[in-house]
Amino acid sequence: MSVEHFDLTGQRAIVLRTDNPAGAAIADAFEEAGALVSRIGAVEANNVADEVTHAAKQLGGLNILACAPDLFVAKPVTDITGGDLGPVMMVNFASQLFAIQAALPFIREHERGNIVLLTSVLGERGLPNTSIYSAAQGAVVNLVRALAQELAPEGISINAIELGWMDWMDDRIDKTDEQASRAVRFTMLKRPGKAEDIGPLAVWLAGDAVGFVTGQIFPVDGGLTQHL
Amino acid sequence: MLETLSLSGRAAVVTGSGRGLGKAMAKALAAAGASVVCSARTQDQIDQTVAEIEAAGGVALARRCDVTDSAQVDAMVDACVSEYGKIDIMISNAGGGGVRGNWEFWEYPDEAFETVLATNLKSNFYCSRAAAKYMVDRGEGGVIIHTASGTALRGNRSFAYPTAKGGQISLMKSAATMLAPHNIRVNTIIPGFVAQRAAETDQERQVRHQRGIRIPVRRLGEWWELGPLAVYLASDASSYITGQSFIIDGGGLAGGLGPVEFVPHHEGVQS
Repeated sequence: MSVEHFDLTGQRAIVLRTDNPAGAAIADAFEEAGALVSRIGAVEANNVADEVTHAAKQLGGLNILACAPDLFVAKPVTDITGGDLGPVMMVNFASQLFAIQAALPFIREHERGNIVLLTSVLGERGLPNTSIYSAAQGAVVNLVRALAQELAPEGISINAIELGWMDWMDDRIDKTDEQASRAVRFTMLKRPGKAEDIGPLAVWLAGDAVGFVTGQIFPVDGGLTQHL
Repeated sequence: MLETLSLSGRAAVVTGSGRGLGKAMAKALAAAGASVVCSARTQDQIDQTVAEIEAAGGVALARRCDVTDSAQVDAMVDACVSEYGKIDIMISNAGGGGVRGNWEFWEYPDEAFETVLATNLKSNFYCSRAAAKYMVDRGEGGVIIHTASGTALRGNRSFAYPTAKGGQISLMKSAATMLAPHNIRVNTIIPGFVAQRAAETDQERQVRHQRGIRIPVRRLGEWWELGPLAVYLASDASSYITGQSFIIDGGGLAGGLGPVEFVPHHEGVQS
């Protein structure tokens, strides 16, 4: 189906980390909207730049970059080692930065471009034991704000989708944990989000109607962050 | 997945749709398949919006309404229900500065404050309440969308207007909380500096260019850019989104720590 301004026909897109449900949903939605999509699955953060460069060359150009990495770690702050911190920062934050660095030379060949990153409600709120994960997600939030200022003069918009409790997040909303199921009930809508809840927003953020929308964080969280 | 963006078979009310952003949103909703009640105080302008929707093959009717009068608001929603059998979507967009003055805070007059709150905040409550009552009675959910302003999030000398707009955002969050059990979603669109219509003269283009220079994307927003966002928020494509504010401001509110030309350089940490 094609809806005006939700149409990506002829656009070339890279979606990073389609091994995650959010990345797969974004790639599916881009394809449904008519984009030519290159999917990059599980990849070491240090190889992201090479993979993105390779994918952009294969596509013959690039208009849209979407990133959806997500590595959750939660432990008491005194238990955290460099072995925890490195991957959490590299996957959640640095891999998105590396992807942008590699994608920009290709995106800059066009008059405008769209970048869609992924973050979490933990990027603006905290929970016990989520210190490094929350910090990494907060890093993504302000990466978006800073790069929006830097890239706006070139016609490149950058925004992020901020996930709440999603139905595949068994590593943080364990169904056997009573407190975790209470957390889901903290959403106004009383349910975890689904992959399909992400796609249309990603398409809007990747399309030609968001030239005046940049530097913003868009929660898909069932109302989790907006009530007491 | 994108078929969820269709508004086919939905009935909507868009207040303040005689011109500008409200008109753009009404036309976008109609283009996505909704039947739209276009409301404003000025009959000529809403007649024109309806004519443009009908010329594009859409369905709409014009209904005069002063949204500061709750009886008129209730009657407007009644008109939507009697014409289209229901109301699925309420876009409470009407509002405005109304009062001109540059008073100091301690001199701000009662009447100016009350007028601006009536136009922007009470109206928002009346429209949301009237729509929600029908939606709850019918039991099939619905969508309420408010138009606020970037001024709501940052202090400024207009005072009553940003105060009312900030109140709208709080109203939206509480309404979303109270209406979620009824499957009614409530969200707010926060426009920054957006041009209300196409520029008609070179002087107008020049003024807009000068104002746009201070915005990170180096231009004002355009009326039509509100349309796709309104369609998204009105449709099932956003069915997990409630209680949220969507900012469409060219990157202004994400920055604002200096002029847009301010670009720091530093080689690294120096002792």
